[in-house]
Amino acid sequence: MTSPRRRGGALTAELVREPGGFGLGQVPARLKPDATTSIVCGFCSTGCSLDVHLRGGVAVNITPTADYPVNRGMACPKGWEALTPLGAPDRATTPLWRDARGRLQPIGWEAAASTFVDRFRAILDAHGPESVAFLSTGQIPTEEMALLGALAKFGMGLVHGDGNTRQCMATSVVAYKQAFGFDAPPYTYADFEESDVIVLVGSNLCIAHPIMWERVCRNPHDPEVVVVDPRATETAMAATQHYPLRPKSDLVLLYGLANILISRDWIDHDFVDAHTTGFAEFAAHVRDFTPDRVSDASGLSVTDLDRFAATIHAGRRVSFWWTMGVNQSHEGTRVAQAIINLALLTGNIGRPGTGANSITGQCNAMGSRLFSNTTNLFGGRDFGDERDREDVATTLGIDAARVPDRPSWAYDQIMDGVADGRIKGLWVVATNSAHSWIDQLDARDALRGLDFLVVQDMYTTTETAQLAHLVLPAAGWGEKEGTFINSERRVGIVKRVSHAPGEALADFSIFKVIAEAWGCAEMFADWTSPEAVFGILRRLSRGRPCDISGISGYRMIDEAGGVQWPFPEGATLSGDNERRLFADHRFHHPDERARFLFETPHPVAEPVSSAFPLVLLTGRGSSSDWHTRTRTAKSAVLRSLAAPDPYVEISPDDAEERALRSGDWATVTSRRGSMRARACVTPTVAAGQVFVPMHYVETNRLTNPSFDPYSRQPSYKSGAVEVRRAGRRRGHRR
Amino acid sequence: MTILSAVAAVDETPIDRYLEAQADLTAVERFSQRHDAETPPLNVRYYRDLIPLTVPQPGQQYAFDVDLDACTGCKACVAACHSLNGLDDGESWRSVTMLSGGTTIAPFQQTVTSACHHCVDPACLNGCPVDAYEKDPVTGIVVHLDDQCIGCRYCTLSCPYEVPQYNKRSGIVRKCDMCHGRLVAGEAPACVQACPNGAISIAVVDVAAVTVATTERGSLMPGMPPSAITRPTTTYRSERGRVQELAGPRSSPTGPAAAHTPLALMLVLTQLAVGAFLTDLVLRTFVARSTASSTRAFDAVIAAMAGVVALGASVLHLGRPRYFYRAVIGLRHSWLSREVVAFGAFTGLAVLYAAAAVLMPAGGGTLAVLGGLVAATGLAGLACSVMIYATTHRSSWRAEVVAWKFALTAAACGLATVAWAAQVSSRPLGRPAMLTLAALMIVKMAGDAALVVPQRALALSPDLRRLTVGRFMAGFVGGVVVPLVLAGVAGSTVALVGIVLGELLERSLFFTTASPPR
Repeated sequence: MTSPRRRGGALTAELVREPGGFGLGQVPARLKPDATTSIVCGFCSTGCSLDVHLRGGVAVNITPTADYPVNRGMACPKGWEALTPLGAPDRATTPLWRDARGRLQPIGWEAAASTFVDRFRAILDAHGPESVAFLSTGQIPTEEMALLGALAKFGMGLVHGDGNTRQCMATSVVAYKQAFGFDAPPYTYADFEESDVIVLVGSNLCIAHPIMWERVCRNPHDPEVVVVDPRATETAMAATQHYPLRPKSDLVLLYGLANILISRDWIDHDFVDAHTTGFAEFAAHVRDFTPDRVSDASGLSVTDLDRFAATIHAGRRVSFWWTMGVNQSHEGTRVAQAIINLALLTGNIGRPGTGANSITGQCNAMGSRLFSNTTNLFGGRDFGDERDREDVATTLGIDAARVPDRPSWAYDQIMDGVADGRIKGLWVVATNSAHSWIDQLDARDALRGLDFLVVQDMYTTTETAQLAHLVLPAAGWGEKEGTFINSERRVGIVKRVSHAPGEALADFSIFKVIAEAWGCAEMFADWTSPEAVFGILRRLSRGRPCDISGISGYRMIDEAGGVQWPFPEGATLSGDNERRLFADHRFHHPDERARFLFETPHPVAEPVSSAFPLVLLTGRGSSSDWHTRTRTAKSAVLRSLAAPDPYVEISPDDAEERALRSGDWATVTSRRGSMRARACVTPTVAAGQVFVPMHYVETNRLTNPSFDPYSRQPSYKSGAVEVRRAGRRRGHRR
Repeated sequence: MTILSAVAAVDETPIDRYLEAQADLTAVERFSQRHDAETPPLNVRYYRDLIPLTVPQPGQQYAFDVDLDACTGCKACVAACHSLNGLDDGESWRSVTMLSGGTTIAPFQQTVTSACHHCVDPACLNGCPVDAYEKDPVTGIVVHLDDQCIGCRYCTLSCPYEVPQYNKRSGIVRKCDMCHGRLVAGEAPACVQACPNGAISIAVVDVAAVTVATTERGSLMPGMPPSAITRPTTTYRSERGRVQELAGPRSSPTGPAAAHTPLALMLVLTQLAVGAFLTDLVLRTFVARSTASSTRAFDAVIAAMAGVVALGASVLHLGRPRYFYRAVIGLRHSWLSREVVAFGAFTGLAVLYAAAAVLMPAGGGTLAVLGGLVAATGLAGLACSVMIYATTHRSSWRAEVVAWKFALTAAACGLATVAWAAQVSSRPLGRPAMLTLAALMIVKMAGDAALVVPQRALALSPDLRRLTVGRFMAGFVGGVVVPLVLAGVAGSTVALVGIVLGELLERSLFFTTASPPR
């Protein structure tokens, strides 16, 4: 006997799926779109395209674009959930002013703009042009960055401004610039599929860039995948070879590998002779890095080193990739260049499946590298070069005297300026310094001492907004237009598919409001819309290595599935829309040769000691978390994919010594501060090391402020800590 | 002076214009649509090889097939399940855990994606009191009929993999249906479509072979419950051959399980009712025949009232209480249906008995027959309660443990109730009864304490510490100290309140510290 059952009804109807059309397949019936449009994701630098499902022009759902050359129908959880953070209840909906009682109160845009101008003007008048600075981001479109850079430096007359891109890829910029003559990551993602050897240094691709790992998985050549990482990461597990070197022994290891390659004559002499300079000096330099010495320093066996070098030698198409493990180092520039050197030595550049390839972090870090007008003048030019200044001034139709004759201070120098009072006013745009800056407790103290702190953000609740005197409500990704440039130099497009809440405005509009209030709006009369600015950027790029003058406009980008730079006038797109650099082996130095650059390795700033016997490693914890979680923590799905409590990964040996079991609360202490974290006992972390994800607000209380001397990038992945079982009380400072 | 104020003379300020522009969504007008409404699914090219070409033959069914070597922990499957199925905030039918193991020299970790295992012998289906589950005879997919569900949540306890999830908004449980409509249309399930590495596919498996394969290994993956319980059909494959090195989930403990407060109340009150009734019966039959008739009606009324309140609590526990009557549908296979029937009968009969005892105090024959029926249905209900939890295969809910817990709760609460009733009727039971009560409670709490010890980290965590301490304080004061030192109405009242409160807190711990199925 079968009982009567309700097979239909309101509850069943909620979950009905129907063909969605538009190439989507079945979708939830209640979210069935009446139109779709594609838009580049606003989290990481992979630059995936997402199909936005629209009803009445408004975004209701998202799926990855099936036929975009980057992601081929896939996205990581952040992409799938990209719309959710837009609807968070803590969105900034109106300008807020901190009143005398310390509470943020709504004020109108007119009052906000005049306050902004009056306060910053007063500081500048009293203390000079270096007393006000801005900190920007790799998260906003290029056109907005360009407008900010031009407004701040040419319009408001500021000297100093930098971005959170300093924390993610400054090292690669300097490494490329010195080695190749221009900041030019040479690869295209197809190289992941074309290589027979893929070397990943300091890159947990599976978690940090899952869609790039997708491309590795689609490599038909059964590649050797070599991972160099102190931890047995997800990527190390998926690799064919894992070299768990000691933290910060990477430079020694890479020099040792070069030594083996040179001593066995496993080098491409034709390439080296014709297209590089400095080989002889480099060969002499690495001679001292004998296998025994490298083995001692790295903890890898001599046999391991042999195998590693032999793998590189055996590959016909070897690609080298690096991410934050290299960039966030006290000597990252030289480490990145040591990787470049391996590619140069073996002639692995300019051909399919090769390259010395920096994988960037943020969705538009690459846009900021070219057009943020902070460290570099527009288009990868030099503030110190008079001709470059003239060039830009002429293109923009402004007086060359308005272009500062020196580059800005780097982020750390700006924070030092804030701390010692040289900088009294700060404008923070779409970044969360009070969470992410290294040695966070000191950073917060410094920010609290500012005369005037303006935070322009989507949310009122970021740790930095909580310190602000004035909060400007910004529209987010999906609520505005512009372009991003991804890791492989692909210009992609973002569109307005969702309503910004309240009076929140696109950063572009906010900059225009400020320009008008400041009285310099005429300078930006041509900067009428993001697409108009894109036209200005095309002109600024003309004749530069990053020439995009051949991109006719947004429609072309949209129809082509993104366009990689360079794309000068007259260029045409190939069928697969994948292009790499240096096929002609002509680099951007005047002699067209790449440089071997090297230096004696330096010890870390804070070695372990008896009081702080463990090396602190930080990094991405889950593919569902992004940076300071201002957006990803707004999605319940993304929250559920990361551990709710801060945690510290610790080796079984170190845990046993401290009577810690998985799940126990522990206190992690450095010379700068401490945090509570749940112990996660795992052999994937070596004895003597611990790993803490960077996303938890407490993590940067611990990190040690040391910097690469060339890139000024903070060394987030090295510090000395101790871990103890936690008592009842919360950890406190010092 | 500023441009802002200059243009303020005109009607519209620049800010107004920016706000207007901000409100204008122009994506479709400004940018060509790359695909029109008629375009068929474009992702087919990526998943064509990941779904079967044919429907299962007799003796076969669909199953998830996971290539562990390709699963690298991106968790896109979880997010895609949420988005492509239009699920509520935070709801997804897939989850990803990380297992770790190996040695310091050769560490190993493995991310494992899992959803419903569409078992050969689904515990959700077997336990469902309203037959809201069915196993599709052709595909083998275990489908949940959302409109049939009354939200009793028993499947969230009976499924050893904790697959069905309660949706508070709609008051029902929802679960993975392997996107069967997509499969019918030749499309891949959401998770299969979304895996960048093609780690998840749908296979057609021989039901008999699946059973053999899983039972040989014991469980699907280290840390998962024995496959013998439900015979899950998912296959986890790895050519690395290191799965056996994995010690178990790497993540930290996730805190207390759901408290199910109405269920705790229902359990304690049904046990009190049955206990009080049986105690009364025993006392009258064997011990204190002479005092029987005067307190019988009082005891019966209390027991019947407790039964009514317990039934009310169990109805209120439902996500959709107005459909409570469906709970008897699964009588042939569901211990929950049987419990409902037994306690329904017990309560009804107890009310009749109480009425009869009040109206015809001398009605010996009728009362004896009715009393026997009440006792039988009450004991049957208790047994069903035990089986409900014992069949979930949780180590903290082993049959003997649950039986012992429920029986002692019934005995202690029953005796305390009858003692209180006797006291307020000015016919106290006397010292031996109080000593018996104290002894019962000492034994009960010693047993409870022994069960808490292995779970002490959780039981003493900030979330549960007060509950744990409160349970033993209330039980000790009400069940041991007061019965021994304090006589009179006050004493018996404090004893009853303390014991019942202690048992309620104990039952709350019973749920919140329940160990996962093993």
